[in-house]
Amino acid sequence: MNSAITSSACRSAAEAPLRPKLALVGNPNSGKTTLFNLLTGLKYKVGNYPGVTVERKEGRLRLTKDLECDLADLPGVYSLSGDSIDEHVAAAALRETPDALVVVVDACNLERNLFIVSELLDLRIPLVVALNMSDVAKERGIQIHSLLLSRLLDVPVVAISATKKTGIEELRRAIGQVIEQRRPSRMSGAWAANDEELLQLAEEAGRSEQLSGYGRVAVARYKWVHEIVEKSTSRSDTRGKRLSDRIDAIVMHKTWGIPIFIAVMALLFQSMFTWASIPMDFIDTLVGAAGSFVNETMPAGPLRSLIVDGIIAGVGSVIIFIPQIALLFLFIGLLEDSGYLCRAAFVMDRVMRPVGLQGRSFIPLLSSFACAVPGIMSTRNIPSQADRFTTILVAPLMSCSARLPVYAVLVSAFIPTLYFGGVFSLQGLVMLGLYALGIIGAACVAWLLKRTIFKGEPAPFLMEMPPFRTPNLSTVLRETLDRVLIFLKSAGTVIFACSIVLWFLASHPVVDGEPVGVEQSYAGQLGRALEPVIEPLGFDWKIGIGLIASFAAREVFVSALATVYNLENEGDAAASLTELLRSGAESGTGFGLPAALALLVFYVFACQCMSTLAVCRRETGSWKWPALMFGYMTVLAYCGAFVTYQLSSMVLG
Amino acid sequence: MTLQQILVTAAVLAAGCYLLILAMRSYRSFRKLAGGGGSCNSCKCGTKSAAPR
Repeated sequence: MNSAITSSACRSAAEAPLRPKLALVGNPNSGKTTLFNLLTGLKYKVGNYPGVTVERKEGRLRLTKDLECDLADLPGVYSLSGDSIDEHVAAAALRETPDALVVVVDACNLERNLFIVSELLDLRIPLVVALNMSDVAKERGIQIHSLLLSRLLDVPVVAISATKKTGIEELRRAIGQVIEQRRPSRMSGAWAANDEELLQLAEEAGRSEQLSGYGRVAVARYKWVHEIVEKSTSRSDTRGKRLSDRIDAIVMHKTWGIPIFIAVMALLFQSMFTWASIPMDFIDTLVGAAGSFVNETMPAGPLRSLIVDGIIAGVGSVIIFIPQIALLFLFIGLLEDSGYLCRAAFVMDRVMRPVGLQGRSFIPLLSSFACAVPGIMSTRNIPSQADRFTTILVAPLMSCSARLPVYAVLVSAFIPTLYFGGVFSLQGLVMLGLYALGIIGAACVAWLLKRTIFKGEPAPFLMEMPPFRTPNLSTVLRETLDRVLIFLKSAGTVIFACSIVLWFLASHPVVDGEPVGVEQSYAGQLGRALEPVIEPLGFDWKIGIGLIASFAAREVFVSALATVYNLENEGDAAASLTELLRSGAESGTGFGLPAALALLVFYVFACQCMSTLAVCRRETGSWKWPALMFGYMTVLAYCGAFVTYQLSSMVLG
Repeated sequence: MTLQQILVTAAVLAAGCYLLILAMRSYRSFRKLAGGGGSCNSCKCGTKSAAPR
């Protein structure tokens, strides 16, 4: 077999620079990216919901020792005449006529998935059908006779399971054969049964990307597909509701759906405080011990101060949040992979509709809790431009993971550790409140935008529901590990360098061999220069330093405060920032609870991310929208912090 | 100048230069990302594409 593939029909990587071009096509959530990762060895994001892939991804597929192919993973499409941007991306890639297609078909939904196959057959490109999730189909009593299906479609059909990695070698061999033979299916146009008028209509629909006459074409295609499915599939009687349906009846309940979603989210934030506290305390102890060790072993002087007050205090104050970040991504990953997040999108559609957004906006907004950049990218599957732009403009209001250290340090320092009912801690509830504040802010802004700039009703929401399944732990853990490594890398590079520079700025100039004190230092002068602007918000010059530093990265705010407070506290080993903030508030040398609350509100709303603005420009095609985003978020952050400070000062005295 | 002062000066200069290089790189990737190419530099999510139609 392998020697056949390496025949002259196949261009070998060593002999010719041109490799055969392959594309993975199929319905959304049929497992294309999981298969792509498996075939190429790459690690692109996968998820148990439609719309994870919104753009073309490229990789190399090695079929034999001598044969390599370029493999493109395309966004999922239901048909070739869709009108959202991700569907255009897929259609554009197919217009480049790849040498062969690998059509990934969900074996559990064969009839719907074969519709796109009927369209792809008409392109007269050689193709292989990968019957993915055939293990799940079998469990559900669906028996697909792949040999018969292969004969009916006149293309190779291989039953695989991308998550269980079965059937992959057979698929590789089938791909190799198709590349070698380069023979398109003889079933092209078979759905029209030689009806010239229908074929004409299909051609026009494909060319003009308009739906005129497309209804008749679609009906004829579905009829053909139905006949094929009837012939090639047998079902054993599966009585009663499946477990997935029974869970759906609860989590998507008209009344209980939203409370269940809120409870799940509350549990997530609770666990971030309660479960993460043990590893966080451990890291804190390690950081403290490292500071004490340096203090005891090194003679006093600028180098010791740099290591203890700059590096250990700065970097240590940030790496302490690794357990919380890991838990956040672990839980989101588990919810996503189990299929619950799609249900949440449906449940939230009812809440989002009154503010002018649709449930389809929920997934991009949810992705923005990790980072607004992929969140904004995933708006590509929203067909309505008004809904899409509204979602893009409000996505950065979702609290991304970079804000987490800022929230966590302020909440730990200023919010008492009270428990309600022995389960819900006040700190966890405040944390949930901060995330909720971002969502409420986004809802208000979306409501305003949909009544001013983007007038119009939201488009109807139709979304495929993936089945509930046991989350794939390796995928979830890999995603969590990736996030932790990104955070660690940031701590070891940007935060490390910022801590050194900030230590210098906060401990210089030196007069008569003695530092002038943090308030009179270069950093202090910068902070004090900002004071007139931030004073109404209750922020002092130390917060001013943190705000300036956080333009490098939001987490730097925490390390900057740690360096400033540790320098003021000179003589001791690197102390925990939480402790220093608490003692500062008690002694009156630092800021108190009203300013801390204002600071939290400021960070919920402020737009301090250049990448978000850049991707907004790219996705909207104009600088006008990122300018509007930056402007309204800055105003919202300032006004929100001002109101919070004034109100909380009045209430708390 | 003592050895400690020399080491501190070297560390601060190295960190400053590193941040300067990072700022320049960020500016370049910002322009690339806004223009339609490049990859997201903040979260390394692998975002890479041609501009949408």
